[in-house]
Amino acid sequence: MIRKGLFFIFVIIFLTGCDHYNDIGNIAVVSSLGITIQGSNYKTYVKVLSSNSENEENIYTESCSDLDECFNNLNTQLMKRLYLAHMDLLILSNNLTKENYDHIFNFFLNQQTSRNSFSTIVVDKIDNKILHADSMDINNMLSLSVGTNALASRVSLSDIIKDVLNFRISYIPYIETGDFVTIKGYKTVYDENKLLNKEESIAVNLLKGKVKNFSVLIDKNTYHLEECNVINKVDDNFIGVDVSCNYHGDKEEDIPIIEKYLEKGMKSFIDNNNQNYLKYLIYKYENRQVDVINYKVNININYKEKTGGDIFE
Amino acid sequence: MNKEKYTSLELGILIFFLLNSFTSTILINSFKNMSSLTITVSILISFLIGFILLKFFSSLFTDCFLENLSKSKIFKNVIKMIFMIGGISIAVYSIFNLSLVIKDIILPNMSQKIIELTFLILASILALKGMKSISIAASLMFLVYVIVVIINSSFNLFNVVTINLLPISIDFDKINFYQLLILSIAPIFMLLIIPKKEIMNFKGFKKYSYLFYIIFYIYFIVKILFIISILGEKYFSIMNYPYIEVLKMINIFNFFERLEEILIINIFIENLIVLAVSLNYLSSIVNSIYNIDKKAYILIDIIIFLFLIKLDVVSNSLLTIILTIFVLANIITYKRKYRE
Repeated sequence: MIRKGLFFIFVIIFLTGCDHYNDIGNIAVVSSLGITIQGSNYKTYVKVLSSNSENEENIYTESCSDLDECFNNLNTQLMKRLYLAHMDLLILSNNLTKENYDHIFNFFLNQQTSRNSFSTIVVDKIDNKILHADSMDINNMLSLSVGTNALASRVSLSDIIKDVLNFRISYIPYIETGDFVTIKGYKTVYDENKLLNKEESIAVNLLKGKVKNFSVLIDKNTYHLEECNVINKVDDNFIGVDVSCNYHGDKEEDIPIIEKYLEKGMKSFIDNNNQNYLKYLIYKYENRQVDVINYKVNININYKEKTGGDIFE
Repeated sequence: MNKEKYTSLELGILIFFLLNSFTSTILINSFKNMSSLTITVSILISFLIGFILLKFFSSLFTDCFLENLSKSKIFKNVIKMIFMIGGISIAVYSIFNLSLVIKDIILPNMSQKIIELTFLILASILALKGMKSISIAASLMFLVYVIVVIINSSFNLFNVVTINLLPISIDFDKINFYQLLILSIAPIFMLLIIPKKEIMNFKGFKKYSYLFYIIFYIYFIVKILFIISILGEKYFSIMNYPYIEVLKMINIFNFFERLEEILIINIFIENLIVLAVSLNYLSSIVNSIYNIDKKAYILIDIIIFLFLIKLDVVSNSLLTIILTIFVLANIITYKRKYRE
């Protein structure tokens, strides 16, 4: 009885985890974080949810030589501890270099509260428009893009880190903030720094198996494709890319137009950009590192007669 | 003292947990920077050699293991000291790893010593009740364990990318079976303090021990290949806790997220059971060396001793060496039994 009593007291005093108790008023829940470079300094923008009202957001900025220092300064500025577990969006500016990306990756991997499953986008310039945009809206826009124009997809920070570790290039959605916030396609980062055009962005999504059903806009006409499947055949240093889709449309004569468009995008992506992803595929299937790859693209669109109304009209 | 007999299934489940004691912390990390085929071959070699050691293990059971070690008193005490060091190492490493996981993932501002003390007290209360209570508790926790494994695997199936297991290549220099072999098989030798007459059906127990041994190896090989197929070889290599990283990816219908702090219970169960068994084992050894009657006093002393040990300098290779000597000491008693 005495033993049980002593144990009970022990539990109450020491083992309630009260060492780690954080009042919600003392933590700043980060909704989105923006990082850019100004000279040799990082400039960070943090959008914090206010505990007073659900809809109220506050944006704070800090400029320093190191991300950890920026984080600590923001903690001091806010008089609260920044809490990254509910972060939805990471906004990176266009002018980041490979070293900056290394710092960003290390920063988030060392953050205990960060989950690294938040979406990441690249913008030309971090301004009020993108900061005030709802992160959930941007996430939804990226998720919907997969099923509509296939220009981009939702890419998390852990996906980017995996891509960089595997083949030293990652494809991050590039967002433009003009009159509207629009997705322009993918931007390659790390070993290459380039904005892909629409056809090339669709080619990336097809190669990575991220899109099954989407629509392409060719000469003001929209063509809807379904059940798209890409098979990569790898042999020595040769890679065959076979794309097959079903086209639900009015005219079977449109098929060559679509095939030509997709083939142009695929060839442009392979010829004009870093081929690290394809070399990575060859390494995975053939266990060999190659410098030069030969490829063949084969696009096969099957016509399926349209039945009923088009849900995209 | 609980005089009920042990059922074969209870002991089989206890064997499963003892085999599994270091997998989520030390053993998964020992397979980094290896291809999936190299990992598979390493685990298979460990499985085959471990089968032979398992055969020794079941032959070592007697009605009074600690008294029948040897006729020579000095040799007996030396062997008991080796057993004690082995038991302490298992207890120290399991409590250190558990408290480190909790501190890193759940309670970063909490003192690690307080976390260790919590689980030491919890395990000692279980140990005080005896090995029978530990086996019953393990059987109940096994249900929870299986449910959590099913949740982990079923809701992470969509994240599996089979290309991450490629290329299919084997690197003979990197084959590493020894650490898995020793760290999995050594803790089960602590069950030798259970008298043979208290096991209800010894033949059935032998069958269950082989069965749960096979289940453990299948579970481990599937678990590690599952983790690599989700994270990829290189991302797996840079993670401190790859198993927990996989748990973080569970997202059920975009509604249930951030479940890793509940699903981490499997690591608690694995380490708690091995800690309780090792504390019970240590109290039996100390009792047989010093003839102290009150188990509670022994346990309090052991807890204080474990609490005060400075654990910052632990290394996994030291544990492997100590447990190798521990296993060999157990096997030597087998030979001596038939020689005298």
